[in-house]
Amino acid sequence: MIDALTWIPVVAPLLGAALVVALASQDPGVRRMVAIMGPALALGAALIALLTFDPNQAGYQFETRVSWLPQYGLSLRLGLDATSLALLLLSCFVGFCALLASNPRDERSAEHQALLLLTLAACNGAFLSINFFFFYFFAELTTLPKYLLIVRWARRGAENGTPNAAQVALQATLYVLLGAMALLAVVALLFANATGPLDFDVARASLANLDPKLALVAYAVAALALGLWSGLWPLHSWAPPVYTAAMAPTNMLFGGVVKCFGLYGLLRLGTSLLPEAATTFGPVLAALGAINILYGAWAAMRQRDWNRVLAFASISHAGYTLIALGVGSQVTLAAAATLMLAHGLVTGLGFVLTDELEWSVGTRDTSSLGGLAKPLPLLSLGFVALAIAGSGIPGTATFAAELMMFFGTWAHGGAAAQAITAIAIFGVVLSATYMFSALHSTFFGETAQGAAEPRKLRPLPLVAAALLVFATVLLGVFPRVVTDALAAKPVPSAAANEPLSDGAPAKSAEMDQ
Amino acid sequence: MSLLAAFHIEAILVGLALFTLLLSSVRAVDPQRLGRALAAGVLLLFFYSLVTQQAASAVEGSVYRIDDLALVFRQLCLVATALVLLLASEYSARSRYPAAEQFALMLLAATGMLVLCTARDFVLLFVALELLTTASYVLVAFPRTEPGRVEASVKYLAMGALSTAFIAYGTSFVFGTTGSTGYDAVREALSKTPELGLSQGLGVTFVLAALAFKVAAVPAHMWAPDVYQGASLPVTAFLATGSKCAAFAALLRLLFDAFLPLQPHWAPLLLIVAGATAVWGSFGALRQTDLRRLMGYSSVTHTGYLLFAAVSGAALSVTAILFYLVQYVFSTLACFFVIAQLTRNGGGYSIAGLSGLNRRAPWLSWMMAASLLSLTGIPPLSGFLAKYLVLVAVPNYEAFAPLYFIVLGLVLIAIVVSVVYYFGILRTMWSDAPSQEAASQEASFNSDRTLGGALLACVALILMLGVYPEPLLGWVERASQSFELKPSAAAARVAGNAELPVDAAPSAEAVPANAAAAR
Repeated sequence: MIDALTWIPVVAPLLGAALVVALASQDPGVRRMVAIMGPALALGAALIALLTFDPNQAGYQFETRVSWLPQYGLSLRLGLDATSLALLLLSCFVGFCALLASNPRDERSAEHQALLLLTLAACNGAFLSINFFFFYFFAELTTLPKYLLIVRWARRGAENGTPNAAQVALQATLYVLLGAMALLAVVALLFANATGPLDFDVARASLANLDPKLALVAYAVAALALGLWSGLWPLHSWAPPVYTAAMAPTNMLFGGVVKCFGLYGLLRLGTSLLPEAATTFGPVLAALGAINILYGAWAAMRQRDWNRVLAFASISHAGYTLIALGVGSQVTLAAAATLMLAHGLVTGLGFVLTDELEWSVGTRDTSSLGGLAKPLPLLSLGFVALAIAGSGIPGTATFAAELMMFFGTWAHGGAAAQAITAIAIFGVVLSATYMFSALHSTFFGETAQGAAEPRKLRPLPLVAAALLVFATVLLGVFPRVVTDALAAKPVPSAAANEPLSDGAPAKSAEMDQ
Repeated sequence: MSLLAAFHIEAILVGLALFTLLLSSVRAVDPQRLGRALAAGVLLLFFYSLVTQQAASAVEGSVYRIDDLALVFRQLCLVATALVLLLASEYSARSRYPAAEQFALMLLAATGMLVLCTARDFVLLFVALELLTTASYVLVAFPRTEPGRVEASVKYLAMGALSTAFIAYGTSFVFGTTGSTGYDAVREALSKTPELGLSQGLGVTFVLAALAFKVAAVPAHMWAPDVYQGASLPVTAFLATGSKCAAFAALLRLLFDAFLPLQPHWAPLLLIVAGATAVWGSFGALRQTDLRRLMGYSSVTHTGYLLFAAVSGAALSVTAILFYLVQYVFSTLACFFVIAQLTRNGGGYSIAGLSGLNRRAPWLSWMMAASLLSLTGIPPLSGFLAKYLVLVAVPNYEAFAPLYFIVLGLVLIAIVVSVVYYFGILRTMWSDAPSQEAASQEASFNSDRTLGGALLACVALILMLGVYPEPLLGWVERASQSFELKPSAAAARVAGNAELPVDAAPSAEAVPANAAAAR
């Protein structure tokens, strides 16, 4: 079984990477065209998949299956359900924008573009994989690009006090691989105790006989590992330095897309692999989510570097997804996917803009900037959009996603759920605070003394930013583009047609039938 | 089967070795051409053996049985020898010393390896081990005029002599308590005695300790970094690949054949050794600045992973170990090929000498990156699947649960720590501040075509084994059935459900019922 819509997003960027390396000595403009073709094809495939996706059909659609190691229950299966469709769209779109924003005139940029394309292929593969092993496989594929992109293409002349790029890269790789090894042990453990393949659509049957105690241990270890991947509190310390060290395209892909691996993995773990253990740990996840929201917001307020503001904002936003996963109802799971989508778009937008800011005025430090709205009107407009989108004001994707999550959590009932909803809503206020205060001190207020004349902005990153703003607004105004499919997802029976306010956990809704 | 038919590959190898010695004493031969010719000869022998050799031909009451396991190991040893000969031919052409003796010794050592892979008797095991080790002592010291060679050889000899004493002493205990030296008889005798007596325990421990020296497991690992650093590059590559594989073949035969009835006794011991080996090697490699020394510690670490896989005593362990070893040999050889290319261009063996390699020779840096990533275990390279199999190969953890989980943790930590030194090399290669040593090298990179071709083949193979492992995995699975092992629980369960159509979603009734029950 081969479906072009699912293999093109993986193969096109890989081919693009090979072509870019082959054309290394060609004109940078030509190479950029080639480099953009890969993600463009992938995005095209993802959009066609979105248009032809049947939300009322249970299970995976557009499946591609390649037999790999059948004796170990491992087939490479690529397919889309609503959640993976949302994340595939995110990955392709942000990947497209990242390659658009990458500067092909950099030294040895063919390798740079090839590594970005490899990362994109890995991201698409991870979200398309139906098998847990292959999700892991593709997620791990990003290790080398991540390391090299930070080590080799770190910002030149990083500010004083920032650790050097090699240390940052090694630290990030170590943390992520620590998580990866723990997760690999869990995958192996689950495999050794499964009666069938660990494909998301059959894993529940395969693991039906799993010792519940073992399931709890496996879930706890896997959750820690995935938390490490997503850089969640208290395992987040590797992430912010990465975003200060790396360049915009790297940050867009890794901050916006690769960071979703952990949360996406938790979602799959909860819905497909270990639902009972996930229900047990749900309150813990939700509580951690609340802490992430507050901690991320608190830390973001104290940052002066725009990239660090964005890094902690990202931790704060991951908290919403974590709460949504912890509650685990049909609505909140749909909200979780939408939240990841919105967060990825906003993060991508943020990093492309801060890079332009640094290019133009030489720094991202809010304390040494001010009054840039006059000399840089277009950029300030972009940052206003970022602040609006980042703080979840109506009309943006973040708002739509957060609203879904609040409804779902509140409807879950119980004082604890409502307290957590209250914290989450308070978090929105906090996010507005740090976003707008950073915005204010950069673009409004007094002009910084002795500021040099800003450099002219580069057109292509601005185009990328405009595309990201467009997508955020589109999703904010018509969230149903994706939420329809997401909300209609668990369709095994009539219960699926119930309204969104159905607060019962999806698992029990299915169990009751 | 006649004796000659069983031993003909070994006989050809010995013949080649003698011919080389004779030829070099009669007339002066260009060492590079001789080495390449011998490499080609061994490679031909590999293909010949691949095509013609059939499994399960036994000689003299199965003392010497060419089963599937032996075939995998023998062919691996032959390939490794051929590639190492290639490395040696290039090395000897550069360093200008009479290399024919080295080639002959390598061929003799290879003969020892082949016998070691096939031996199913303690006496034959001893002979093969001595043939391999004695040749290795001389190889390490060769040529003794170069600094450090004799020192390394003496260190190797001291440890090796001890291990020889151990194996002889252990064998005497085994013979004394079981009345035989053949593996079949020993296994039967051991399975009849339910209790482990002191003399049996001593015998098993001594024999295993001797092999721990060969595979460089803690506490008999100290020689590895010193010898790897002191020996010439091809010999180091030989010790790291062929010699290690042959030792693992012998170890597997002992653990899974002769001593299988004692699995509950040796498994905890092996677990402790595996954990200690993995961690020791990994942390030892952290501070190394010499590539060969680093490879020595890294080789110790990999021994730890392999021993960890052996613990469960199930068929899957053998599969995992075989797959791991095959890909390990090619990843390691690729590494050594890169180092050889570097030394050709005036670089020493220090890691700092790699600095800026990505700028000077981008392809070489990517090849090195591929082999290092495979050794780390990053997909899509074969090392990843190998590590996965090693982790999967421990199904009956209930027997020693707490110890098993502790050692699992240690192994995982060792893997994570290994990232520091493997990725440290990557960083050096991609850094652009060339060190003084690197700057002294000539600007244009002069690479050897033959070595380059072999390097490319190795890297292509580790990539292929990572994305298309099925042929090799099928082969090593067949080999794992050479032992009478229980299939691992997981394999049995998955195989039992292999007919389960994957896209048949769990029936709507069955799952909720289970889930409800769990609640």
